Amino acid sequence: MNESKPFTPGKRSTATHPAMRAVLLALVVSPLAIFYSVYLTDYKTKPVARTAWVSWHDDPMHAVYIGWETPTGILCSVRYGIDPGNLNMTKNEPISATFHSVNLTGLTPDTVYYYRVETPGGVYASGRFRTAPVIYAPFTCMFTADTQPKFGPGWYEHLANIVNTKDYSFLAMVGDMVEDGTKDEWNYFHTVGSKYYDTVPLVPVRGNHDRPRDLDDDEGTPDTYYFASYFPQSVDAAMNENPYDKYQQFYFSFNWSSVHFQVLHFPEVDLDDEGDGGLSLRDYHQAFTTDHLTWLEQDLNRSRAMPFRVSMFHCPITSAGFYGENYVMKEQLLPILHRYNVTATFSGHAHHFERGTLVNRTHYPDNPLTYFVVGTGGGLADVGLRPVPETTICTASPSYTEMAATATTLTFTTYGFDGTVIDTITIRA
Amino acid sequence: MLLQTLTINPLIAIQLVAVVQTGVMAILVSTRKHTSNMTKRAGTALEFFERFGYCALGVFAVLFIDAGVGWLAGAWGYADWRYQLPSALLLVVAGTAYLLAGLLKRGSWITLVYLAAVTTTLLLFLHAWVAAEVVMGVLLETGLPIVLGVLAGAGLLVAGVETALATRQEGRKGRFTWDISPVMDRVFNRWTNLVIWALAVVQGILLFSGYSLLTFWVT
Repeated sequence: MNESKPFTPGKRSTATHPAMRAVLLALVVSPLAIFYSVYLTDYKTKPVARTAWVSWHDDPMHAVYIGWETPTGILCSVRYGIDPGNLNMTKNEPISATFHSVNLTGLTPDTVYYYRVETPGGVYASGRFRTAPVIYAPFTCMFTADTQPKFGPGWYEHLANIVNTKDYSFLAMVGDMVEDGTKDEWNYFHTVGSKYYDTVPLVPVRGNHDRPRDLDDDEGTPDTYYFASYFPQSVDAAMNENPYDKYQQFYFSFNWSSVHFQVLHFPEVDLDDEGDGGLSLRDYHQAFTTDHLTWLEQDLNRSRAMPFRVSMFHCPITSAGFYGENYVMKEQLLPILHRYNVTATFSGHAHHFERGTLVNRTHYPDNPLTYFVVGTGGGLADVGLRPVPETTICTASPSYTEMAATATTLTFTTYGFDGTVIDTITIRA
Repeated sequence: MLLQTLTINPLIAIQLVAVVQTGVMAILVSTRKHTSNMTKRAGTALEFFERFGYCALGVFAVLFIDAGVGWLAGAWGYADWRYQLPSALLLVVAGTAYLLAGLLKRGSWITLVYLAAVTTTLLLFLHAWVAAEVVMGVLLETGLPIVLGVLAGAGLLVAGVETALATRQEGRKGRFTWDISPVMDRVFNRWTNLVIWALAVVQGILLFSGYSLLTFWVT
């Protein structure tokens, strides 16, 4: 057994010198090793972003809020006006803070305002926004979701660069802006967002990853609920009856031109309540709370006169993604959406793009609901797709969806990052 | 009609290709062409690990080809093909290379049985079992590592049996049922491997940022 015997295992390198083989080995291994190590750590080192964002609660014709964060607690003010060279109105903060939110009220509809956030040290951020029109004027907005850095930062920065070149009335971020809700992730989110914050307002929808992972604080160290600090709640805390989520529910609605938009809140249980910290059916099948459903119906009833109604909520009613169909949403939410003839819904959660149609042939055959899943904002892609019967189109590549509205039509167009039109559909009032 | 593309996403799969191909390249550049003065025991051990490596590559090959073909067939018509096509093609090419230049280069009926078992297991798991789940992501994420582990264990067994048979039949004709090494080594030489490695690594890096080999220069 110990006799020497030549052995030829197969084709191998002709480099015989150990040093040369070591160099070749390093050359082969280093590209991926260096990329992964930088890619997976660099985005976690961003400081507080020096930027400000514009959003609103329920009346973007007359009121918006400007939010920003400072590394330390300081007193700031916002100067604003319709002439960029003469910002003649000022709102001063009453107390020092690190998370800032200033409401600008009494605004004129369909008007471009310029603003400047000022600190004792000078101008902190600046930008402009346009208030919502009173008439049914044409406008374009964008929908995306799931920018969360699921495995590295993903392609949100690429998307932000595209948004920066557009003239959208607003960008609706349909949940899961971050993965674990940690401060460094939020710093990265706003750092990337600063590429377009100065010209494109942000309409946030809370996703399951945007709230603290440890909802009931049973892990000993309560998580900080950064989402609420960045995007103040509009719903009265007294209405909150959600037994699974002690944090305030985040839902509101607003009109923009011919469209009534709803931002809905979908509660989920604390993931660690399942013991192993993993996912379970229960996580996906939590019902809407009574107060939320009541508000939802009342709000849709009030918007019957609007040509279009668009509802945004993070978890889709159904999709080709690996979450599949959500039975509770299908039983509780969908009948209401059909009853009030909601034109379209936008969701994320599943990391792909999908459009489909949900039809209630028994009770509301004339109210087909077009649903979109726009979870391609950067948090990587689903591992596979399983089209459901309602699916018209689905794809798991980077994309973004625009909505161009007129008084009588809504045109939804989904683009790949190279400008390829992946899907387009026009819905008439 | 939409085809079900429940398989490994090209984004994830191409990362696997990049990692696996980096491993293949690392072995190719760091081991010598001829190992002289090697003992029979060392030669047997090397043979075992080589056969096991081919079995492992065979598992990856089935996974890659399934993903590549699945995404070519299911996603071609309605996807952002500039983003997905390079990954899908690379998956098919790399998978084919791993099969032909690895597991099927030379072998016996045991090799074929193993390959059939791997193919059947993975296809049933991905396209029948997982696809039948309500929330299929859970089973996919927890089950796939287990399935791959079982197949790797079977690969160890196959490598052991084949090595034992080869050692027993040393010097005899017909050590393997077939041996197409000369042809395969010419086609899938180090330059082929280098090209696959370079493309997979670049594509894998680009995909994370929303680019691909076909879109990077477009946008």
